[in-house]
Amino acid sequence: MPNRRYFVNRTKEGAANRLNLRRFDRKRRRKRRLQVREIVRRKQSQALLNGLAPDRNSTQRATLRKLSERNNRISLDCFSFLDSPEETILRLVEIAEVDAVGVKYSIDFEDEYCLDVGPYMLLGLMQQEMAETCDGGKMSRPLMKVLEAVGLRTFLKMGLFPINAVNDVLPVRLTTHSGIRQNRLGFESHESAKERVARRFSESINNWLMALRFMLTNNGSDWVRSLLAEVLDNSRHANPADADGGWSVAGFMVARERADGTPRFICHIGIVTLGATFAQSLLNSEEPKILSNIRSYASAHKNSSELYDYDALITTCALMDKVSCEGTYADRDIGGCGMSSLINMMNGLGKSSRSDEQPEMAIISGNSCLALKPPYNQMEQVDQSYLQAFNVEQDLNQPPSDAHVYKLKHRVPGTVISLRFTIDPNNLSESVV
Amino acid sequence: MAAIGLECAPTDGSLMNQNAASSVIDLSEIATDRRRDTISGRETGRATRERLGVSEQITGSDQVEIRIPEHVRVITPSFFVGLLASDISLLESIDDAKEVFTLTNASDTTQLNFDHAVSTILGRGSPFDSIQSRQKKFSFLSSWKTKK
Repeated sequence: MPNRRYFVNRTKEGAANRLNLRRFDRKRRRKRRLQVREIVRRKQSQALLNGLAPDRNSTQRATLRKLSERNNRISLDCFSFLDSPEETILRLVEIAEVDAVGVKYSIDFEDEYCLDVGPYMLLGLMQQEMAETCDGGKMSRPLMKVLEAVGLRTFLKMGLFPINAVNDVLPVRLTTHSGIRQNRLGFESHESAKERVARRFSESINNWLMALRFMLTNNGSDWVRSLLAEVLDNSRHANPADADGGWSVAGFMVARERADGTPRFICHIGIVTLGATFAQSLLNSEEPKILSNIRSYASAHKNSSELYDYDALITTCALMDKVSCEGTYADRDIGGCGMSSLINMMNGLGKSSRSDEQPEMAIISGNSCLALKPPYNQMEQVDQSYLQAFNVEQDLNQPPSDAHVYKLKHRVPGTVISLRFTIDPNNLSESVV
Repeated sequence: MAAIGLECAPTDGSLMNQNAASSVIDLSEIATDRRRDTISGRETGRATRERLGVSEQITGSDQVEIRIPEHVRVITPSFFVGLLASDISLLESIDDAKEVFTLTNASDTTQLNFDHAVSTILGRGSPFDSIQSRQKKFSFLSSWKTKK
């Protein structure tokens, strides 16, 4: 009976439509307009995919051939900006190209552990723009635990993982912000998204330390909060048109066992900003003094190595205190200090006596890569400001090392900052006052 | 003592004391939400400056008190830069700035951040100062090449 009634109603509805052709036609046109709008919206909102792989719509045949050679499988091995930035971006570009083709494919995550949270965050941001044609793939259990705890599983649009409650990963839960300014006047009487994230971030760092029977002092907690708010504040340079770029923050601490059986507490933090890169922001500066300084530096060293270019050298300048794309007052540089504070925090918490556990940071901005690894993983204080010149003398007159500053074959439309450090309770005991 | 916004501030101490004026920047309006315990951002600082009319309020003042709501634990250096850079940059030295601007209810970190903002504005120049001499050499080289 229900079926019959349904049938009768449909017939009546059809008849009504036939009797009122104008109304029906209007509805059809409206539906079509909505479809066109959806297609345009989807095309417009693929800024990240199109930025990563600008030719992705024109190389469909080549992509299909490559994919079929690999049985429609994409393998992500050593998926880390800290360990192999070039390969990692290449794999992300490949995924962006495959999405344009529109065939079913699967992604195999070959790493046993999460080596870097940054690429997963970028893949998650890509997923927001991609068609849902990924058909699953392989993943290890420790990696599942991390993605689940951090909140990346749902962000990556993955199904439920076959794991129980995750108790051994301490996360900084993923927070993303689209970058659309809620209050165009900039005057906010309520806590902004950046400030809320900064607060939660300091609470998470405190949780990491409390797991090791330490805790941040009130001042320490305030300092961590202050530095993350400063770093996130840089995202407003990323999209000059909208005056605020989109950003994402995530991280986690996990215990792993060393070869000698002792526990190692590894911490990962990722910060992704989409929009203009560091170099683009600095070169967009309207401050002649800053522009002249960074241009002189980049021009002086751009021929020192084939591995880096003008943009990579400009990106190096972004790490320095008092270098910012905005603001000199009365001919004084008043750039920020967010990046140097972040690097100082990493070295403060991640101080280690083991040579293979030194803090590391990778900054991928556009097609520039800065690898802050030993011996250049710390900021050097010169006069009253911090800098990292990536050479032994810490002298800006000397060119930076091309093993630490280099250009990549592909570009990310924004900036990814990945940090990895090990908290050593013995070293922390020495730092406790 | 220095005065804000007076480019030809009188140097005679007695005259200054006679005209001594103080003003207050009350930040409670930007933290009406008691959950807001962090205030950050250069843009927010600039917007607050406009909203509170800081420029008009402190012109000619010898003492400026910045009142921080009790529930606010952290104010970042970039906020202070947005709020006060154009005034602080008119002062001669870091000591002058610390003498003119005082914070009330500031946590240690906020006080440190304020000091950092002041030293960022009034401190020594950028890291590029160390390559000034070399820059001259580069400009000489480039002009030489053009001539050739």
